[in-house]
Amino acid sequence: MTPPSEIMTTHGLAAGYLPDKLIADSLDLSLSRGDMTLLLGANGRGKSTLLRTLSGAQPALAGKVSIAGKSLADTPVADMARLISLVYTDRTHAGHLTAAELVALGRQPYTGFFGRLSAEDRRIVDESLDTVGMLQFSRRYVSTLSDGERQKIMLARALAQQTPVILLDEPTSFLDIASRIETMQMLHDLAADHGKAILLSTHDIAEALPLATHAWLMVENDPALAASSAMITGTVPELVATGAFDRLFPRRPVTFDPSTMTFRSVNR
Amino acid sequence: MTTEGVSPSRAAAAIWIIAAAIILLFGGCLFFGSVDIPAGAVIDILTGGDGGKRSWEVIVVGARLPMACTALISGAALAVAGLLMQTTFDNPLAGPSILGVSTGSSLGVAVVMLALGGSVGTIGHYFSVLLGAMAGAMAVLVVLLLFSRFIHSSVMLLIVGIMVGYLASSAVSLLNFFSTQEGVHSFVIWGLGSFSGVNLERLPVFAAVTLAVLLLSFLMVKPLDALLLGERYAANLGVDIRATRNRLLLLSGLLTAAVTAFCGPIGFIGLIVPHVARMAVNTSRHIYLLPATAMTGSAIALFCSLISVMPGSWGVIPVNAITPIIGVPVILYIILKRK
Repeated sequence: MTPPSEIMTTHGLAAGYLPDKLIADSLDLSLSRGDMTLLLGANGRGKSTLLRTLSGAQPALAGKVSIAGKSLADTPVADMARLISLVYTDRTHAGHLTAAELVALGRQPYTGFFGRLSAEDRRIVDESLDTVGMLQFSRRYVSTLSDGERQKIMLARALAQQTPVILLDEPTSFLDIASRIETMQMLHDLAADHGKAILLSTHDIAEALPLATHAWLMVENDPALAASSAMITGTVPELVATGAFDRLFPRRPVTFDPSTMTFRSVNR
Repeated sequence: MTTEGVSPSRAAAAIWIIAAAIILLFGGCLFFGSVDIPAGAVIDILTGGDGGKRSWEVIVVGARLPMACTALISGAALAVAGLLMQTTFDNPLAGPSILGVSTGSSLGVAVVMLALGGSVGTIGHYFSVLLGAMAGAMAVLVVLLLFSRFIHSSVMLLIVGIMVGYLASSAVSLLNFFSTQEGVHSFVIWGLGSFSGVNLERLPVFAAVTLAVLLLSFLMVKPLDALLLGERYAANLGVDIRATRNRLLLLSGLLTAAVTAFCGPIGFIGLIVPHVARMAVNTSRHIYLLPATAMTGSAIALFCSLISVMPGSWGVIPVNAITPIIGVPVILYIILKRK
């Protein structure tokens, strides 16, 4: 029996690139509404590849991804747009749009042929801007916003898409510390208060870990096995208790300190 | 409230101003030309009279009117082609001439013209020129599309476009070398670029083909807006990226090819007009930007056409000698402004 809050699952999923770059295999993962899950791992472990595979942007090498009870591979892109929304780290060139116009693009899966917005669409756009605290910026051009403000707008766009699942690939990497903390808090609230299933890859462990419910750790695999990464999953307290975080950076002079929930140098 | 914001009426106001400019410039193209014809006579001819002289009627109806119509349509087509390419390649410096698409068209035309020899006379010949232009344009676009899969830097892609353009023009030169003098002559004249190559009989074909493709472009405003966020976000918004990109390249190739076949390779309009239009309506939303780009393209082409006949009895300046004078400062401005 699957609990009703479980929205996205994988069974025997293998992610990677053909012909011979296998990142991870036999993955049985699950995301639930109300969870904020962190995808952690050293650079090059394949976090982005896994996110792309989960979002359907890249085909799975084996196994399957199910979302809302349907197989991802059989879901048309137009329907996918109502199930998963994505936030990336890279800047976009949409500087000549206002914040509200950019967020309104998130309504595209619901609007008609020419993308005309209904009164309801406009209400949802305002609500999304309000949720990320950017309503007063709605008529500002995106090009005049700071990186942190812009990333909030991209998050509002994902909210306007009204999907149960939001996947984010290093959403805070260009942001200053205040914006990082703010963004993490926002993601926590979206999961806790709005019932979204949130999965984000990040290196900002100090800011993210206290707010997250679950974590997926991509760690080095046994060299004898085909896949380059192995996955350890669990709730954050479980993973802290088992010392799993120390497996994120083997042979590096850092160690995870459970009392502060942060990494520190071993030489101290 | 914040200091900067969009005024909904601004786009509308800009569009009305551009419309007024088009009417004025179109009128200018009818009233001014290499031959001095009194304004009263022009009005008389346009309202169905004979203007007093048979030759004046021939000039106004047979030459100036089709030339003005051709400039109007070509400008819109090239500008929209440029806009589609800029959004498709996510590159503000993309355009039919700079990406080598016009040169590809030229190569197609050269193959047809130099192989068949002689002038562009019959309608049948015209269609083979059009097909040649189309094949050349599409070939370059396919090459660019292939490269864009591997090259993510927009500047590098531009350099690839310029290189492809060089290759195509080298092939054109080689064709010229092995061709008859007569063929080379008509090709060189064609290559100077002119809005006067479409006479009254050919105008309906030209107008029908180009306007049809322009109308089809308007059907793409929603995916075009999604592409402003880049392909990955567009895909997440439900856009079928591959199909959309192919359609957009086909449309921009058709627009470039149609104009190039009739008027020769005309530079800069496709590159600069989308930027001028964006500044005018102050939005990237294609529902405003696409019509504004088409109209601004018409206005600028009419302006170039008007300048080209300014020497009066001294002759006509090739359009391609005028467009860079307007285009280069705009490009430099874009490069400097885009940090």
